Amino acid sequence: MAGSTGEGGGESPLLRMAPAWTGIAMRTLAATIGAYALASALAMALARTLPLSRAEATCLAAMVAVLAMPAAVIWAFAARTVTRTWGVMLPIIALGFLAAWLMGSPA
Amino acid sequence: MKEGFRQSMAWLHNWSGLLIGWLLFAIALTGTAAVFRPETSNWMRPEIAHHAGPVDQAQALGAAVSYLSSAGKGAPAWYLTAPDDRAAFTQAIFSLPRGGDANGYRTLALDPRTGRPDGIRDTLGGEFFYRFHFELKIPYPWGRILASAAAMVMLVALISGIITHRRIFADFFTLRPRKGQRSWLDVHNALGVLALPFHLMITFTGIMTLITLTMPWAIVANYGSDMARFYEDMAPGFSARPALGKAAPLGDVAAMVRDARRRMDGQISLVIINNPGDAAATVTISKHDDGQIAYAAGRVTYDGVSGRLLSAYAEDRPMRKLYDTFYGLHVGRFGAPVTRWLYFICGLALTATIGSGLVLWTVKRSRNGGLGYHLVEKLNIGVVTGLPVAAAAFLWANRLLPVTMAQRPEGEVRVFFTSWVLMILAGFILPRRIGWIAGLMLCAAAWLLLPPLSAWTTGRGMITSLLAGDWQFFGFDTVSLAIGLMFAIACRHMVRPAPAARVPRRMQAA
Repeated sequence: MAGSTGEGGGESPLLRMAPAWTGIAMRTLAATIGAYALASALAMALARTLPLSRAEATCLAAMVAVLAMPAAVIWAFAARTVTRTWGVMLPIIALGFLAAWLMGSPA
Repeated sequence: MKEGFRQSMAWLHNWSGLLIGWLLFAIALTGTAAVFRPETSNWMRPEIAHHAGPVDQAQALGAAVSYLSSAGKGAPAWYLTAPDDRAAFTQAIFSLPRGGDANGYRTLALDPRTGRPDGIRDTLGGEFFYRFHFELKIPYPWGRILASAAAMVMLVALISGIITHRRIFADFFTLRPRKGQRSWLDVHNALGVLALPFHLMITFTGIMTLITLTMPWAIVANYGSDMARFYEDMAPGFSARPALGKAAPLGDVAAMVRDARRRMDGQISLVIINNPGDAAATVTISKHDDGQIAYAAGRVTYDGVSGRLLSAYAEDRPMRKLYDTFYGLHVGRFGAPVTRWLYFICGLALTATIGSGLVLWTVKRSRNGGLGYHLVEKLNIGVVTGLPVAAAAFLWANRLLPVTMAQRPEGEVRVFFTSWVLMILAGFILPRRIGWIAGLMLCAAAWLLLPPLSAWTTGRGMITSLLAGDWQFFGFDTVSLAIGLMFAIACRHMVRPAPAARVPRRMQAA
């Protein structure tokens, strides 16, 4: 929690800070569906590209993907604008799925 | 910019925490209780006599198998958990064409000496808290998905909480008691920071335990829909042979257990017997989790009829081992008993951090009021005091329901949920202050009176346990008293006049 000038100081700075409703909705969407899509894309791309055995690559890919999720959630609310939030997340999601698709399914 | 970041993180911390706070409180509380799952299971089966000295795992498994040869006939597999330093009985799970629970499974607690369930009361024991912790009593897979989602929100709340918290070290030494909002904030901060590494670890590893369900995309990418291949790759040495349809009696399981203990150098835990009674029977014995942090570190499989060793497996793939280490860190079965106490204390700290966070949310907004505020305030009473009451009621039901009652485990669970619902209703009906005081008082009474109730109904009171050197029963009763005492102190704190009423007195004196 913040000290005297932060939110402990009362409601007003928080209200001023709070994004407008559409902004909150867009960020929440990015923090839920967006973050999960990002983690899934990363999981698929890493699982197919990591230079490990099939079982080991699957294991590591899933663990890294899970770590990426909270990072994506924080980003969704930390980015200065909603455009920036999605502008960074969408290309990563697209690249991840593209990489997994290009690698094809395992033999 | 920096201030903006911190404030948006404060906003995220407050709202993500509130959104899922009650659920997290329940998950943290039952998870903390699940630390002592075997001990709770023992306490809830007082018919199993205390036995000094180490348990003979081979003899217990041998006895269990001879009982199951008739009682478990026709089951495709028997899943046995051996008694050990902590668990006093053999747990047997198997499915039969007739009977069993909703999924057709039957769970029995077998006496380690006779191998029989006779006279032992039917109960879920500590299993209830353990299951509720990640399944929330919601049908598969939704309960697990919801618990995982809650854990993810918790992780986000922790990270955003740390970012918000700018004086992390100074606040660690700060407690301003009886100052209303400030005090709640100090408690929330101190408990949150005190065991912060634990909070982060337990939340992160908790998410990890369910990733095959919640994050299956790495598996899909590498295995498609060939899940059999995936499981064989992930946990080699578990695969069963198809049944031959030719009857053959099981060999000497006790001898196999002795051999497995020698090979894996210590206690064993899970024993899976596939196709019992068939010529293709196999016996897979897993290494106990007490010797290493990693979960399920190794296993050996025997031919069920001849007892010949078929395979021995020790996990040594780095990534798989890393995952097992995360899993093992979460369930905390490794090491000496002091590990469990640390987990228990840190778990209580986490539960209290969530509880104080929920209260803080209302204390900060008490001047504004509003429907949302009242809803949160009322639910806080029903969850923060209601859940400990429900947990105690569950244990009371274990002692008070007739031992021979049909569907006894379900009866105990019904008492748990009925008490919780009643507590939530009471929270809504009673005025705020009365609601808190009555709730805390009930918590204190329910936990303080549990040991006398147990002594009266089982004859295994605290003094008897102490004299018999039965540290599990004595410890359980002591923890119950400690919890009751804690709530009694909290209640006394509530009853005493509010600080606002005391300030003028001091001002008069000045």
